[in-house]
This record gives sequence, structure tokens and C-alpha cells, in this order.
Amino acid sequence: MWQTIITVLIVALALFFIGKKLYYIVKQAVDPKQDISCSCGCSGCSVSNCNSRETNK
Amino acid sequence: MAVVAVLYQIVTAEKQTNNNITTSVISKQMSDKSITVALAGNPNAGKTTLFNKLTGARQHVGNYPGITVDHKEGYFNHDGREIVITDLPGTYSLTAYSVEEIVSRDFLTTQRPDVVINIVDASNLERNLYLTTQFLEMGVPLVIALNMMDVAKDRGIEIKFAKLAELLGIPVVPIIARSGKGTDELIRQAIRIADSDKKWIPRDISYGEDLDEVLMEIIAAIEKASFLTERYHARFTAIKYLEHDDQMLTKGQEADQELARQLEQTVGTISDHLLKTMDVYPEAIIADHRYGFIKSIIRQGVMTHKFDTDRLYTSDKIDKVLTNRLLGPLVMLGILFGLYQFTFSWSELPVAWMEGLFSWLGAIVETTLPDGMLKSMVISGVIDGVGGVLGFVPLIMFMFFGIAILEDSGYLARVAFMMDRVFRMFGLHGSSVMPFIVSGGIAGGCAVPGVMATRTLRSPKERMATLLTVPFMNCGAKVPVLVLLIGAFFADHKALYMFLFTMLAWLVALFAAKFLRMTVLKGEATPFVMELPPYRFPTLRGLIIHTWERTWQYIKKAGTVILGISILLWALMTFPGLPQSEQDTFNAARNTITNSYSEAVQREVMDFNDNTDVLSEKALELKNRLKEIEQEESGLTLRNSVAGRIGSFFEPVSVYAGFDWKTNIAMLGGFAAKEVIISTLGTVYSMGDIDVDDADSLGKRLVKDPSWNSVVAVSALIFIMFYAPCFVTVVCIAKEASWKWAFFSMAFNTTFAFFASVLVFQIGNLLG
Amino acid sequence: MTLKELNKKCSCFARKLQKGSISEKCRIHHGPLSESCQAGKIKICKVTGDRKLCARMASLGVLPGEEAELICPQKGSQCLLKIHGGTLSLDQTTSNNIIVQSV
Repeated sequence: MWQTIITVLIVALALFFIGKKLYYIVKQAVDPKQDISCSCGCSGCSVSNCNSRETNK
Repeated sequence: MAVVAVLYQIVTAEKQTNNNITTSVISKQMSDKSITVALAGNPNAGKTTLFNKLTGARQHVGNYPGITVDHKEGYFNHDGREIVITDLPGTYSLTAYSVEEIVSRDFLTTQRPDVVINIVDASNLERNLYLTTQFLEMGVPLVIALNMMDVAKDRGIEIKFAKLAELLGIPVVPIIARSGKGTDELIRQAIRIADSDKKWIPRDISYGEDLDEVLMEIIAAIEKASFLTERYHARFTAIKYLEHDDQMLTKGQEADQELARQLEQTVGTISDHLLKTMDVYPEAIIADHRYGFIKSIIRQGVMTHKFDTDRLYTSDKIDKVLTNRLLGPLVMLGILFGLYQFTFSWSELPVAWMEGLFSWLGAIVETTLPDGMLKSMVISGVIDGVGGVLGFVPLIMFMFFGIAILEDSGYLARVAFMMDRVFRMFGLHGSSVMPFIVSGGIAGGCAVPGVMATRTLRSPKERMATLLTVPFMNCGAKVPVLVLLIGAFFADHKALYMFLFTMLAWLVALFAAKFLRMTVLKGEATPFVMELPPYRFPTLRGLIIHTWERTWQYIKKAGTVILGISILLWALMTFPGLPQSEQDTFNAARNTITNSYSEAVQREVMDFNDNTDVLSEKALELKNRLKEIEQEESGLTLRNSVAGRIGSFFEPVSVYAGFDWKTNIAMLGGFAAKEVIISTLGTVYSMGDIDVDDADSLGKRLVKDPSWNSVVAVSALIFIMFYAPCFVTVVCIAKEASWKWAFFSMAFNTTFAFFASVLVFQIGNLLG
Repeated sequence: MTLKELNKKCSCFARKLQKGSISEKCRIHHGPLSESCQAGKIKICKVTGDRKLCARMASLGVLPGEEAELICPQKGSQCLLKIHGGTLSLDQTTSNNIIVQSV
């Protein structure tokens, strides 16, 4: 039983995390001022576009 | 400090509502505290290197031009002063010839930074000072950072920077951006200039009698009507009119149509006159006078050459071989193959270690956690899912290291040069090469910055054709999937297959571009001119930083986004589970089988301990029969799950390409991010096969599955390489182009990929 | 020395053109850069073609009267040109429009 509760909690957490990520991507897609590449998280673009923001702000 | 700034902003905002006078006082205090600095200069002069050095950021720096398309902001403190620094894209001039030039010029005129640091490459002084003359003409408060003094010294070039400062009338600070030498002094000078609170005073450069006369006439008209003067100095506007600057002409027409028409007429007359008498346009004469001005400065003892100026530098000598018409492409292919060979051979052992590590982790969880849902999630969802992606970290690292060498040395710019001819044949532009490489043309890039990098293309049709075809490249997320399948089914010639599939990606992208350019994106080709950076010997530190930052991003993504998606997919593959009636059937079958054995045998199986016991023949038989039932049950549970049902739904169609429902789940998951294909396959094969004795790697599990063989593998590889780009890329395409094009890209790519896979699978099956 | 005085000292091709010195020099053996088949020093006689292209080339220092070094002649195709200390890669359309003369 305790395994099921923890599992459900973890799945809910994952759902929240991915949902939040998705929300930001869509938000960036809608807002022309936002830089989409920061939400990509891949090895290419976050290096080139996002780190300065992350480290500086 | 940032907190202070925010507080100020809050205070300012509050006061604004109460008292306007107070607000202006506070903003004055703000401006006393923080300084806005713009970094400008030619492409590849080291702006981003200096930006990183000053702000401690890790902006990507490459030894090829055009890496910074948009301007980027950073913050740092110097002696208690907050400095907001903007890295502008590299430009050769301030006329609207390219997107970068427009971005830079607009930033300077609209944001009006307190000071502009003009980075000048000391080893290429003459070309770099061309932009400086335009800054002087514009009147921006300027400090020159004379970068790469070390390179200049190696080339036997000696620059008397004090003399240069004296002649130009602005501070010149020698620096080495890579090591940070001289940057302190540079910032001190920048602050001094910013504090001096001088107005923008443009310098006059004479353009010869003919043009000077017209200039005076235009300036008088501009000043009289205050035409665009709120943003540009009259002389600047006049020069831009003479240079036939599209953007300024449009702005002029918007501001005052009548005057704009008059000015255009005046400029038209002188242009015609010059064209008739000298066969040149005014802009050529202006450029010539600017270069003349630069030469006159340099000749006054600013620059001395130790060696003969005519001699070719090593860089040029290398270029003679590496860009040779016949030898160049051969060397390029050789380097690419060598990179794969290096990656696969060096990473073989560490990848095996990583696999070992994850199966060890799996075994620990298996023995410590009691059976149940959590255990299934940790083993199937997390360890077999995300572990599959993380297992390739060493390989990715070696690949990034190889690419970092190519990038830092300046070779990639040569690749762009050589590919221009090929690209032209397919209706693309020389500037399309960089977006392709950034997207993973060599391997390990990403389509999102690739799509963004297409901003350098001015022709909208060439840009669109590039933007739609860059997702065909093998990005960093596709690489581990490719490696997994190639490693499993073509283990003997891994590098060769990787090489062939990369070539295939390029071919498909180029033909797709040709197809688009012949149908929906018909249009003229535009010329391609690029300055090649000199070859530089990569520093070990630079290589390590480049490799690490990319590898870290890969790990970070696997540990966050991929982990989250993996857990969600595990849930989709687990629920709703088997209906009670079917569970009862399996339980009944289990009981029947168990009861058909003697009690002693049943007890033997029940008390069986993995590590110590050896089973009798009968007990082993019972255990295997129970295992079969269990596998059948878990297989059915998976098939009955939400994900399983979706996968099965597509099976009647996907079967033509050789994909069963399990592969379909992975391919659908891959739309979120391509790494998910691996994690999903890992979870699917882990859930269908829960026996821990058989702790095989995912590759081995695939080989053992009867629904996979080498033909299916090739078909799957082709589908994965070419089907719809991942979600973020689609959003990025929508943002850069439109949602229409984003959906087009998804539909076009998936249809193409599917038919290509069907073709391969059917032909492969026919040939046996 | 003021900037204006400095500027007066410079030798500009416009002035030279007016004197007719360049046209005389360039009269012999000239043709498009794309057709130069030998690496080595060349002198630019004229930049033709689209106005934008001419302007772009001018801003990069590819101006009549300038001397440059052809690094990688690829007859009928793109080429590498070393001018003002930098190496330019020019495509065929561009190099077709640059009329040069070997020095």
C-alpha cells in the first residue's frame, strides 16, 4: 500500500514538473519577446543562449 | 546588487505614482549607479569571449563568424558599480546589409548605451577599424579594446596603441580576452567615458569634393526640418541616404514623405552622376574614403610588421590544402569518419562501465525493495528508462570533444565554404551550412539553435527552406538512439554505419530543400560572402569547457525532463492494468501448474535464493513455467495499458514499416524529446521482461526480441532520423516562421519518414 | 593633426580614378575573379553587379585599385580572397562580378 501512495505522489510530481515545463514553452511560443531556446534544455542551445541568464540573474 | 536594482525599480515605480519630480531624481541616482555598455565589433573579433570573461557567463563561443545573432545581456560589478553589458552580433559595417547589422545599429540608436566597447582584432587591424570609423561618424562614446595582441605579436605585427589612441582621439586598451589580460583597465576606461556625460559627437570624414558638397546640402535640409534627428545625427542620416540604406529610406518615408522624396532625388542625381563619370555608386566611394582614412592612420607608425607583409601566414597555407577543390572534400569526409571512429573506439569501455553501473543499481533495488508498484517504477521507469539515456554519457562526451576541436580550430568555417557550392545546387545558401551544423550536421547539435541560426539568412525563401530542413540533422538527442540501434544490430562497423547515416541525413535534407525550393519556396539565389577566421590552435582548457558544458546539459536534461517524461510514460504503461477476470485466469493457471508438482518441489521454488541455491531439475522446470506465465501476464498488462492501447492502435499501419506496438509507444514518446525513444524502449522491454537474472542491456534485449532484426533496425533508424521534429523544435519553428509552417514540418517530415521506412522495410524483406 | 587633415593625406581610388590611372593599369589581362586560374597577387579593377553586392563588397574593402591575394582559385566556382588582412570566402555569383587583373 505505501508503495502505491509513494508511486502516485512521484507520478503527480512528474506530471506537475512536465506540465510546468510545457506551460513555459507554450508561454514562450506565444510571447514574441521570450527566448524559446532556454526551455529546450538540449546540449546545443541552452549553452549558447541560456547560461548567461541563469548565471547572471 | 541585482536586489538593489530591483529595489530601486520598486521604489521608482511607487514614487512614480506619487510624485514625478522625485522619480526623476531617483532615476538619476540609478543611472549614477549602473552603466550600460555595448560590446561591438567584427565577427570573430572576440566579443563573446570578452563578454564571458567579464560576466562569468558561459555563452557559447566558436571560431566561426555569426554565432551571436541576437544581442545578449549580462551583468557584473566593478568597484561597486553595476554594469549592464550587451553582446551585440558581429558586423563589418553599420549599413543595413545583414540582420546582424540591423540588430546592432538599432540597439545603439534606440537603447543609446552609456559607452560602446569596440573590440578590434589587432591581428586584422585595417578591416576592423572600418567599423570603428563608422562608430566615430555616428558619434557614440567609444573605447577600443585591442584584442588578440598575442596573435598579432606571433604574426610579427606591432601596434603602438598609444599612438592609435592619440590619432583617433579615443581610449585604446590592449587586451587578451581569452586570458582576461587588460580587461580591468578596459572597464575602468569604459566607466570613465560613461561618466564623462558627453553628448554623442560625430566625427567628420571627408568623402571627396563631390560627395561632401551633397552631404552639406542634405544635412542642411535635415537640420532645417528636424528630420529623424531625435534618433540619428543629421550627418549620419545623410550618409545613410547616400549609401542607399534600405532601412533608413523606409524610416525617412515614414517620418516625412515629402522631404524623404526630395532627399532621395538629390541622392539619385549624384548617384547617376557618379555612375556616369566613375562607374561606381556613392557607397563605394564612401567605403574607399573610410579605408583611406584608416590607412592614413596606420601609416603614421601605428602598425609595424616585423616580417615581410607579403608572406602567407600558416593559416593561408593550410587553407590552400584543406579547401582545395578535390582534396578539400576528401579531407572533410575523412575527418568526419575519423571523428566517429574516435568516438566509438574510445567510448566503448566507459559505455560498458556505465551499463554495468546501471544493472548493478537495478540489482540492488531488486533485492532491497519488496515487490510492488514503486519497485516497478524505479526499475522499469527510472533505471532502465533514464539509465539507458545516461549510459551514453561517455560516448556523447567523446563526440563533443571531437566537435569542440573542429569548432575551436576554425575548421567548421571551411566546411561552410566548401559546402556552399553543394548547397547552391540544392537551392540553399552558404549561410545555411552553419544552421545545419549547429543542428547536428556532424552529430550532437540541436535543431532549436539551428532554427534560430537561420536568422542570418536574409532571403525569406532560402531561410524557410533551411529552417524546415535543419531538423533532419542528427541532433544530440538522436545520436544515442542511433548509437543504440547501430551498436545492437551492426556492432562490427559502428563508425561506418554512423558515417553512412550522417551522409544520408545530409542527402535527405538537401533533396528535401531542393523539393521545397522547386515547389512552395521558389525564388532566386542570393550571394554568399563570409570572412573566414584564421585557424587557431584550440586550448585544452577551452576544449574541456566546451565538452563539459554540453555533456552537463545532456546529463541535466536526462535527469530532469527525460526523467519526468519517463515516469509519466511508465504510468501510462502500467495503468489501468489487467481486468480482475484476466488476473484471476492467470492466477488460476499459476495454481494449476504449481499444484501439478509435489510439495517438496513447490517449497524448493518458494525458498529459492538467487545467490546460494541450486535448483533440482523438477523445481527448475516449475520455475521456468511460472516465469513464462508471468511474462505473458506482464506482456498482456502492458498491452492493455493506455500506452499499449495507443501503440496497438497504430500497429495495423506501422507494421508496414516493421514496427510493432512497443516500438510505436517509443516513437510517440520521441515527439516530446528524442531521447525518450531510448528511455521508453528501456521501460517497455524492462516491463515485458521482469526477470533480473537476465540483466541484459537494452541493445541485447532488442536483438533477442523476434520482432526486431537488422532490416527493422534500419527502417526504425530512418524513421527516427526523419520524422516530426521534437515538440520544442516545432514550437521554435512556429515562433520563427508560423504555426502553419510548424504543422507543415510535422506532417511533411512524418509522412516522408514513414514512406521511406516502409520502402526500406519492404525491400529489405524481399531481399531477405 | 586633425582628422580632416589626416583624411586629406589618404590616397583614395576616387581621386586616382579621376586621374585615369587605374583604368590604364587595369586594361591589360583582366577578367572576372572566378576565372582567374592562378593563386597569387591580383589587383581589383572593378566591382559590377547588383548595387547591394557592390556596397557589401566595398564595406569589406573589395574596392577598385586594391591589391589582394587569391588563395584558392577554383575556376568557375567560389574562391578565397585575402584582402586587408582578412580571408574572404566568395561564392561564384560574387566572384563573377569582381573584375581583376593579375599583378
